[in-house]
Amino acid sequence: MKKILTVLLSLLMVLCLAACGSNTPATEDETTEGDGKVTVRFMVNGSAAELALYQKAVDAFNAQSETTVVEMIGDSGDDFAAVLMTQLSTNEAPDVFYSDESSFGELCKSDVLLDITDYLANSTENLTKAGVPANAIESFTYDGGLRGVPVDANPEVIYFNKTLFNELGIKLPTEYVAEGTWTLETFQEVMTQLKDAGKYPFVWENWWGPIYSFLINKGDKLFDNTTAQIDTPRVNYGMSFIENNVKNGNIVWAGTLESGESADSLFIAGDTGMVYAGRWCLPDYVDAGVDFDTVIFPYYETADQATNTVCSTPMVINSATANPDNCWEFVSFYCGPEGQRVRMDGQGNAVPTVPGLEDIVLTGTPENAQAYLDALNNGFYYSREEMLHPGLSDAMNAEIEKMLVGDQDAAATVAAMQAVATELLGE
Amino acid sequence: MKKKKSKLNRDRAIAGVFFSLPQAISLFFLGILPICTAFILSMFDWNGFRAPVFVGLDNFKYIFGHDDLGIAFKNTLYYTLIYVPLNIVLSLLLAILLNKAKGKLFYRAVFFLPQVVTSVAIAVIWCWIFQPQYGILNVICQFLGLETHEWLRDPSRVMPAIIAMSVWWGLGYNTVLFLASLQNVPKTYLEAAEIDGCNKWEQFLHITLPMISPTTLLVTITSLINSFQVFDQCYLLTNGGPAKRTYTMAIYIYDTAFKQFKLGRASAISLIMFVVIVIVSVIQFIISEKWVNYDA
Repeated sequence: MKKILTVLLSLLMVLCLAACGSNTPATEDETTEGDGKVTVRFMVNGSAAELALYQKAVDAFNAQSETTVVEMIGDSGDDFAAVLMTQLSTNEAPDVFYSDESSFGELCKSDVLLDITDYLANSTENLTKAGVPANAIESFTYDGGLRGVPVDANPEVIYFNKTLFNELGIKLPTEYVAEGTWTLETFQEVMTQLKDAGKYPFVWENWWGPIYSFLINKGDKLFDNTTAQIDTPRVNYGMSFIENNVKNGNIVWAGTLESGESADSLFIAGDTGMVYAGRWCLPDYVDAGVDFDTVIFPYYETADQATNTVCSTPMVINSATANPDNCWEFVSFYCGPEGQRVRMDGQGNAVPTVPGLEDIVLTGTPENAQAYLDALNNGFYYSREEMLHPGLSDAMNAEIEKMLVGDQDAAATVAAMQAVATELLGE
Repeated sequence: MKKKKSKLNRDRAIAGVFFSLPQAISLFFLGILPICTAFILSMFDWNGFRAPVFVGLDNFKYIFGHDDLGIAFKNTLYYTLIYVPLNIVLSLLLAILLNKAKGKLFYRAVFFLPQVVTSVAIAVIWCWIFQPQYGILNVICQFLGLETHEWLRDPSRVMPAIIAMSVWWGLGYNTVLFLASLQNVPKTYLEAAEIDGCNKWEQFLHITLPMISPTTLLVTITSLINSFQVFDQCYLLTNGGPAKRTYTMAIYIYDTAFKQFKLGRASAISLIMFVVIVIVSVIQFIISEKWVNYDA
């Protein structure tokens, strides 16, 4: 009896282990459906609401394509890069996927991403070269080849609480922009007025976008391939600006906010006058009934120096895909006018990168929605150097955090950033 | 008869092997094999997306040539030197109190409860406890006329705050171990000592402590190993900040592997940590021969 039991249990264990076996990669024949259409696997991460929007675009594509059908795999976790890493090492990676800024560089260096330069150059429908911003092309080019195209963009703008400004009798930032006097000095004056009225003037988050917006003018670069160009008068000015205004309470570093508070929650509650964020906040602010408007980030001295952060996720094609043409057909649709319009149907929470869709941004709230488009046109993307050296941004942020806790001053911070960047870029 | 016995023993041995096989297989594939892989990977440059490239000892040269190792090791040592003695002393004290209390079962369950709660939930609770304006800690400080602080944002107070949270979290497990050990101390020894004129403190020092010394050794070793691997608290509450004040070895490994995509280098750091933990554990075992009493 015992022997029979032992044998049965062993058999059960063997069956369990066999069930854990992996799939073999699909060949071209296996990706073809019964109706002759090629199946393209598309993986993307996002919240449930975002995934629903992406699915709409996928459905729209599937409805009009005669050669390709896309199967979307949604991932709502925080470990998208890790999932991708696992799939790539087991030859199960999708054909098309979103690549975040942290892993894009490594994917390029590992020859995982297809060079789509020719596809874009020769494209005459859906997404064409004219529909991709030049800075995006520069940012997503590696070793002479374009590796991804933006799915859309989210330029950051200054949101300000109109009701608060009017109640406190403070001149609106839009007026300064119209006069051409929306400089960092003016910004400091406005912050001081808000602080004197007992409000958080400006809540600021310590990541590359909001940091660099203080440090550079339009066209400036902090990195140039293997060289760091950080220790400059302009950067020193910007860093001192941050240091002085954090010390005097004009700028509230988000890292000092209390549990349960965030830039968004304070803005919605009317406790802060200004925040710097992308169009992703728009639905929340509108739903909360905040009376707000937007302007570009203040410039150093003259309006032509204005520059804003632009966050953008590239859509990429797996270089190992068996069906690159079908993948491009989908990417071109998804990132082109029709795909972007479907995904931003209604109000949307991003800014289209292709021309002809400005009405999505300009219709409805806020009044000065033109700021989003201006920010997109003058904006800077996450630098290629930081994408190719994943530890670089964190190393720079660590130096700035030392300044924010009082371990070093602005000049020492800039010098340290220059040193750390020089070292990491040289690796 | 002899033949029957040896056949029976053989059958039992075979059955034993089969029943322990799943655990042995999982230990090999989920424990030993990953450790060996990490040792080998420490000599490769690998970002997880392409094939690893052999670089020899370059990863170790890089690690020892940069500040991050020193910062992470210093923070981990700081955490360990305060957390471990505090945890052991407090859990022993609690076990002694519970040993004499009525309703042992209830109290044991209550004190063990934090162990079964996820680290994320614990972190959320303690974020609110440490909250500068509304947190209960500052409210108590105000009530007692003490100064309030920004516990998680003050570089000089953030690690003690994390240690306090860790001690609370880990107290129950060691208390249960000590409690079980205290209950195994024969009452006859204590009664004999009392008859001979020993007071409570002398009984504790010369009878109870030696008798529970094997458990104390176990608690010390496991606490030390766990403290060297501290990650959840520092990652969830402060993400290694502010200004790397809670940047521990485990966070250093995580950042290197999953933010910088340097899995080979992260394996090298893990290997260094492994060696440190082994050395510390061996030293403990050597020293334990002088004070651990296995006669009980």
